[in-house]
Amino acid sequence: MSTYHFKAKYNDEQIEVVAKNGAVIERELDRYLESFLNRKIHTENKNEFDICTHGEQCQKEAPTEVQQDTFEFQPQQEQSSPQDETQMPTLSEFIASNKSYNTFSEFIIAAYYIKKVLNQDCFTLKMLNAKFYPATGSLVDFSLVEEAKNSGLIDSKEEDGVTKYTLNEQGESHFINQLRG
Amino acid sequence: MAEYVFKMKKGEVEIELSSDDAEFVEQQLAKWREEILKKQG
Repeated sequence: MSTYHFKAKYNDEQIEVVAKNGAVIERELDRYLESFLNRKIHTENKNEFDICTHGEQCQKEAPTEVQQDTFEFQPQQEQSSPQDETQMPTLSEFIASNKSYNTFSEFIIAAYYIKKVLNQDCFTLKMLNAKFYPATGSLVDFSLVEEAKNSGLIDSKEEDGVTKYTLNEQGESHFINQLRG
Repeated sequence: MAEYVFKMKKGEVEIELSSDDAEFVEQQLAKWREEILKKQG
């Protein structure tokens, strides 16, 4: 029987799916394909794709342990600050305890989490996604940020050439009135 | 048994598929390549 192994990495975060059923992996690939293609890269690698194929003699070892007809979903543990480690909810717990309808609402919940739980006034998109991706399996891209800005929920500012965002008062009210669980 | 791998990288995001099912990997690679070319076109 064949085995299928799918891995997605974003900076230091990684998820891995191992399955005996190709359909499971195909679903994961389809899920990532759209966001991968629509992702606006803010790096010098913009619009560049690296395609690497290995032939039949690839030395990579096959997965050693695979569950029959199931798959493993193994997001890495989110890093939490040492302080309040026992009481502070993770982002995934915080999202689950509130009302998220889609990636946009999850983004607003995450922005509230950063401001009120982590006590950080602002965040960069990279910092947000480092927490958001392991918690949700999705990435926040610039179009989503623009949507939140256009809705008047977040503000942005430039600092040392880096764009930083913060949930404003209207965004906090939106969370409290619409999304709080 | 042979194993087939394809990797796609864009900025900080990297995706990797590996399997001993050559046909499956070929189909997925074709799909991704087609979508990327469509997007770039």
